[in-house]
Amino acid sequence: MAVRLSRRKIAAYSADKLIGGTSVADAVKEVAAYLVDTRRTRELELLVRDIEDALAARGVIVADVTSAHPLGAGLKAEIAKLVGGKSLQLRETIDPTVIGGVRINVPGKRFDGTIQRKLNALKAKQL
Amino acid sequence: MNIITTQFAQASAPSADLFSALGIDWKMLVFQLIAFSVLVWLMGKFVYPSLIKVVDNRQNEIEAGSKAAEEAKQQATEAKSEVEKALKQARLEASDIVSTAKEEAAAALEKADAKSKERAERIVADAHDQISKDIVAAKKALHNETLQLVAQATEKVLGKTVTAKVDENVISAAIKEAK
Repeated sequence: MAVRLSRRKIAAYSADKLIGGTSVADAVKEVAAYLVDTRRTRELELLVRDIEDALAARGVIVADVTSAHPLGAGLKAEIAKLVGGKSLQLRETIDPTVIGGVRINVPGKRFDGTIQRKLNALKAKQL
Repeated sequence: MNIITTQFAQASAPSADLFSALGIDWKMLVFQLIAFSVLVWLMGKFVYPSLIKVVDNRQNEIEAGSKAAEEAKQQATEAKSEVEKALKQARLEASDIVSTAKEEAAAALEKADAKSKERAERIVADAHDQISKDIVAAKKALHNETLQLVAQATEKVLGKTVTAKVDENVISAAIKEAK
């Protein structure tokens, strides 16, 4: 049975592997095998987040971008400029309920510029 | 004339014969005098004292009754006077009582009037406060409802009018604002 490592160490290891050139599929397989072996599959989501945090600390940012319409190249460039970092990977989600605007989630930060958020803020301004 | 002369002649006869002439038996007369004296003595000794005593008692009783009646009359007069005095006093006291009662009633009425007036003013003030609160609450509810309606209307309108091009401008503006 494998040695039980902390999530932080696993995340740092995986981030280093990914930056080092290992393919995502191989890294995922390795992490998945370890989690299954150590019976820690329930920590998968948390581990993914930790890996994203570790990547962000190393300048590789994975951003979740939600918008009502697909983003054009210009907007992606503006978002990359806004988020910063050496390397940016966007995970786009199309959600018509946001009506318009964009919501960006990066490790440790969240930007919500959607119309839905503004409308919710307007609704919340009750006396 | 002859008859008259005879009569005068008979009247001038001796005294011994006078009793006989008059039909009086002097022995019987003496006896009767003695008997009468004895009777008088007996009456004076035994009958009259008791009779006099009874009469005196009766007289005393009558006098006592008269005196008692007089006293009763006097007492009645005094009692009447006292009753009148008491009645007068009672009327005076009743008058005072009525007067006091009227004053107290007037005071109580005035007090009740002031109290009801104060209560009415308080009720009016409370009603004004409540109305003010209701107005504020209604304004608040209207404001909130308006916000909800505006948000819903905006949501519906924008959901149909925001095209990809418009959305691009919105996103661009939001990113610029975030910088």
